[in-house]
Amino acid sequence: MKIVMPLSNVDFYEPLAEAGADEFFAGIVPFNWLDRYTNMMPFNRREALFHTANFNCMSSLKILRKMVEAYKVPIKIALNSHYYVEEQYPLVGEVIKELMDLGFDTFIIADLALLIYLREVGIDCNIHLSGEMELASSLAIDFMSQFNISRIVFPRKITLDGIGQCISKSASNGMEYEAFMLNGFCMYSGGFCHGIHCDEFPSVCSIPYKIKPIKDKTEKFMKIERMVSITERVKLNKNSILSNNPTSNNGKIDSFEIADTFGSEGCGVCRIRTLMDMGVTHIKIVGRGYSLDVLKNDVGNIKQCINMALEESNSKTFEAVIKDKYFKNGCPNACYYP
Amino acid sequence: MRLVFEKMPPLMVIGYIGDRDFKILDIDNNEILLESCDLLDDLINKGYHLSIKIFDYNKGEYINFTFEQIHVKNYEVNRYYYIYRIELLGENCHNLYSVVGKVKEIYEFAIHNKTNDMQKKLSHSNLFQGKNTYDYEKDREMYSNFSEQLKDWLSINISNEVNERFRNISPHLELAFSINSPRLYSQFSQGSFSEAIMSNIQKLNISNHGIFSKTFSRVYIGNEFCHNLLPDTDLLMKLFNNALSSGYQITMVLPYLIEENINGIADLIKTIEVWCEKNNTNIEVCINDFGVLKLIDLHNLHIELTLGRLLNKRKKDPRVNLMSSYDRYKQRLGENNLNFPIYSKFLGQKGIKRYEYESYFHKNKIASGKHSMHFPFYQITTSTYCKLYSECTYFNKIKQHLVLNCPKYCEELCFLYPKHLKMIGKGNTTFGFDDTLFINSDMLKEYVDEGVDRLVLSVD
Repeated sequence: MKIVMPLSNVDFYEPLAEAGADEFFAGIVPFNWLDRYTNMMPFNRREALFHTANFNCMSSLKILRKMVEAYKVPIKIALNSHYYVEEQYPLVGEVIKELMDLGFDTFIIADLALLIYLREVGIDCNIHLSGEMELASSLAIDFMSQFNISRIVFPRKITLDGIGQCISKSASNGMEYEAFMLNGFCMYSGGFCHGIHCDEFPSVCSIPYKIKPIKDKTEKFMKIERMVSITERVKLNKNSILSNNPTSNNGKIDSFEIADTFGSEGCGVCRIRTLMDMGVTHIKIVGRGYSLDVLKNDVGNIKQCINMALEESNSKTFEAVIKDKYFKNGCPNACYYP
Repeated sequence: MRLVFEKMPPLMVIGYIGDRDFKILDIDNNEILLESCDLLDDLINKGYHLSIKIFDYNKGEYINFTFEQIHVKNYEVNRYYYIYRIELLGENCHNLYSVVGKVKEIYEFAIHNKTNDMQKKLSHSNLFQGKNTYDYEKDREMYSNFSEQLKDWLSINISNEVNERFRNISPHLELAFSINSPRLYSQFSQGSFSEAIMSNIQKLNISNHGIFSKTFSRVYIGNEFCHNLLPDTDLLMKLFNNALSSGYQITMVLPYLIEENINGIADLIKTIEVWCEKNNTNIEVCINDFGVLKLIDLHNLHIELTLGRLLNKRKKDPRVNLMSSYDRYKQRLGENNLNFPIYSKFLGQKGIKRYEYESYFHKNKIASGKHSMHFPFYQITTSTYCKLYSECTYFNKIKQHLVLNCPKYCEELCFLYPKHLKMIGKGNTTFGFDDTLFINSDMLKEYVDEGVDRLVLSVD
């Protein structure tokens, strides 16, 4: 089982490759795209301008090419916007060809129209279908197999059973399967999210809300409504206390801003053995734009977990061992495979 | 903080010498640091100019600073690249620094604040000066329940003249009513369709609107966004039979496919196919997952396919107008891959010729052909793991998992969002509300001219 790591800085390649990354995924947004479209019509799903989630120039990709030649840890390129517009498909095609000339031949794609376009114009790159395509069934995967795909990236929200069924029912020989493992747990399903993810304002999932009755009052769920209301007031008071006392250990009850620790932003680590047994070939650590320290820590831990999984064939035992080693105080709330 | 911020955010500052691009690491006084894969001697000796493109947040575009004269002070050699320190000469430096200063504020804010705090504080910075920024204060104002919210949203005041214009457009449209929730399944399975439709639009005080001067003639049955909100087979047959006997055309609406609902959807489709055959009638099936094509006999003459809203992707965030480049690109936001002939041809080959659009705050660029327009709610985001279920069961929105036996909290509870955003959360989906097709008859006429021949009304 291989570890797929995010990459957004040339100086991260070596330390992460040495720490155990088996493959990288990266995004590039060429200037001629930015000049024409900025992040209003994004090149890939990292739409931010302020933080470093993407590379911005072919010079950086050429540097990475040298690193790949030295370390043999390949890099695939994310071109996973949900859609492009008509005039953009040839531009995307040109970028892909330029990257292929540089030696990058694998692309993560989420737009079926782009997939069809590339095959029609004869751009014969390797294609991994992004988790943003929400391929959560064997039938959807079967449908997509007509396009000569080399890997399916399962969406964030798919059950273990669903993964197992998709792989066992697949007619495609040699298909690779990638599953989310760490970080980046989303409130919603990425492929169905049409909100904006820029850094100019909070994402849709961060907008405050209240749970209220549809009509004047509830009937069946009166108790639930009361409990929710109490919980909201408790959270509000707790946040108010914390904001007035910044030295407190921060922590809304259900926020990602609890401790910034291994797995706190999304975790499926205890299921590595199960996923191995099912035939998942690659596991994904999310984090384009994350700091090197966080990513090194993450890949080091995941590498250890994989080694442990190779030594422990019983998935239940493996699960217990992992939870004991990493999550003695309880698992993170954001569980990828509950 | 996990996120990395650099002094020169790579997507905001890019350097060129000639036509070769470079990452700029820093601009300080009249010096730049840039990272280059190769030595720059060839470019510099040929006298190529150095250009720096910087994103001017205020203008929403990149501005270019060109330096004809530069002086390479030194460079460091790394195993894989070179770091050049270059002195910029000439008068352009002063103009450059004023823009660079604003960009560097991002870095300064980031290293001193957590992400959400940073966004809030940055909105008051020089970088955002003169721009409309997100009004965090308005987030405090919410309605007390959905009924109050909907009443406010539907307080539509149009003149008699405008209403008459809607009345004149209405004959060109087929009107469809969306039966998409347990409440509506129950209501429509028990009584007359026309009475049920009328009672729903009367309750919303919109029955006198000119759009509804024409009779509804189609129903959409099912739910695009939640696998737990489909009617079971018995209920579906009741609804189908009622629709048929009442003279309504039917569009069966299916959600995304997950492995766990394949058998259920397969049974539904078989039932539909048998029913169509038995009654010698045609129906439409609205798909939101290409996997469903594997379940439908594409040669079945009784079934026509339409492309559902989850597959008609576009940016539908009501705050999009706050983005710095919005004014430059707003005309393009209504376009997507359905306007790409190669893609629409592929869909046509699969038997999908009609697409389901939504009225939202931008004008859709309608693909060629005949298509439907849903209103007044548009989908913003959906989760296959229901957030409302998590909140009501665990009081924790992050503790999510697939739900198959759902108590349907969404029948009585919803997420209310700040008033200024016109959003509502129903179960696993957040919707926006858009009143364009109630108030702008010119827009409706344009849509009709461009191929929209059906309006689909959702009330739940």
